[in-house]
Amino acid sequence: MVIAAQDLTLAYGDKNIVKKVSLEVGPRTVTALIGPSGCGKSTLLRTFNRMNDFVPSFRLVDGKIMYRDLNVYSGDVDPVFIRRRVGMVFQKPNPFPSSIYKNITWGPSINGYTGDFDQLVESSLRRAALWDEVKDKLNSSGLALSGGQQQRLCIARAIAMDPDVILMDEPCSALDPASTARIEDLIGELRERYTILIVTHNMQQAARVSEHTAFMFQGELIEHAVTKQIFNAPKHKLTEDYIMGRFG
Amino acid sequence: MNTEKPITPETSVREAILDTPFKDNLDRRNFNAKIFNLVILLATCLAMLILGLLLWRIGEQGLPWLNWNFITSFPSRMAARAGIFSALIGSACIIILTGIIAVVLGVSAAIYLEEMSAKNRINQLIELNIANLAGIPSLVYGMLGLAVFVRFLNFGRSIMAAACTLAIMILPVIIISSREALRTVPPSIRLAALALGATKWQTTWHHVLPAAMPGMLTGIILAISRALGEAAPLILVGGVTYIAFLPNSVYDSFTTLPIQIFNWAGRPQEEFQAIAAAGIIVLLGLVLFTNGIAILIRARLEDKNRW
Ligand SMILES: Nc1ncnc2c1ncn2[C@@H]1O[C@H](COP(=O)(O)OP(=O)(O)OP(=O)(O)O)[C@@H](O)[C@H]1O
Ligand SMILES: [Mg+2]
Repeated sequence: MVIAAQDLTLAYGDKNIVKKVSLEVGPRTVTALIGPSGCGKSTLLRTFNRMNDFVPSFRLVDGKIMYRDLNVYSGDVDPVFIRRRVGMVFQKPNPFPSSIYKNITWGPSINGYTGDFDQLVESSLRRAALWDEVKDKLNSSGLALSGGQQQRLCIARAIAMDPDVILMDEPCSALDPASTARIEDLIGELRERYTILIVTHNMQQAARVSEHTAFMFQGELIEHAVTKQIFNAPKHKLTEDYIMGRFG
Repeated sequence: MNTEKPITPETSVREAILDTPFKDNLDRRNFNAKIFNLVILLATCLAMLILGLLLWRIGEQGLPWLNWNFITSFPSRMAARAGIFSALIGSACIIILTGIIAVVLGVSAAIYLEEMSAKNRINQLIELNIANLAGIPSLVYGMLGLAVFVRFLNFGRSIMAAACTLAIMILPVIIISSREALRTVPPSIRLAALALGATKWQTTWHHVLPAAMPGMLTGIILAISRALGEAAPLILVGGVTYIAFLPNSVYDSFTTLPIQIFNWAGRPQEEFQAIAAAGIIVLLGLVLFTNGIAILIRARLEDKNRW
């Protein structure tokens, strides 16, 4: 187990959004999180690296998040340390309004990276399948890239930190089919090094990129199994209906 | 209405929309737009005209007296020999000091209120108070400066006391406009930095502050220009009008351009009225100069970070 939710109940204000969810994710796998809009996928995802700390009304009602041997929400764990090990790629590409080079190096530099920065930039961009497109303009703004390139830059920025886990919240929802295909290929390669949790509304995408799939409905985790099984022989009627597109 | 006629590929656009519940009234709306344009054009012209008249009047009076001697001479009882050197230096010293104090305090307060503090009742109360402080007449700040800086902190009637008074006076405006600028920075930038394992402080210092800087500068420029032209509170704090030496330290006594101008303009002799006008021209030049620099800096910053 690399990261896990145990009996987790989450709320905004008084309203429970995620209810008694238990989910374990093993090393070097891709797990897809699916479910209808508003069922709490993003909320759950953001608790794994404590990004929900910045939502004022958020409350962890019950249960815990474990990252390896660390209880993520216990008082003596520094959330900054968790975020440094558990990276995140957002739904909308959000590069810094500075150069491509600085987009990659900023995270490592504030976290005391002692290696060679030029090399880090090249290897991160290569692994994010962006190097060939930007190698001649590393000093131009990250905002001068296309949406798909920006999202790959954000992925490169996340892997430059050499994280343990990468959380992705609908990373392709703002992208065209070609960019989506590139990012899916990329996820396929990244799984050899990282543990990946990805939220997606695209069933084909879940089927293509993930080994495990978790289906959520109205804040509850209905089914969590190997992707093949979820798609071919779901145990729950709800899962089947959702995958077949009968609702959601 | 021609309800009978069906819409075919040959129907003209006009005919096709005749029957819809949309009455677009384009002619009326365009006409209204034209009238509105005319009104704002007239208003602008009127403002420019009044400003132009003022400038012309001051130029006519003051320009003949404006020469290098006027700028480099100390004040004198004779208008022909009087100059604004000590006032100019006093204004420059005070405004630099004011700027440093007000920007450091104001921007820090804005960062604390906007980025660090929890959004609770106490902070809402502070917010309301700051907004109220911005509306207090400058004379009141002069009295405060006299009581606190001159007497209580024992700065005396000095450059330091004047700068502190002006800084406190423009602080609310700087805090409010800086918070406004911080609010325009997209939250996604903050989240991006925090998700990389940055502390709140690193996020603010490296990303939020640079992104908010151009917007903050606008408020800072306006506030400092106001402080530069302010005479009333400084007269209370103890600006003198006859100073024939340059300050050695921030605890020396002071005069400023507005005080000097105010003094000259109040004298009966026509020559003094004229050199007051010449002083106004110098003051305007100084304001224009500081604004110009700030606008240049802002333009450079805006070029550097865009989203
Ligand atoms: N900051 C917030 N404050 C209060 N309620 C929120 C907040 N963010 C989300 N919610 C509510 O929590 C519920 C779950 O939201 P969440 O964003 O986790 O859904 P989701 O499964 O990611 O949906 P989508 O697929 O549309 O992204 C929704 O009902 C939403 O209205
Ligand atoms: Mg979501």
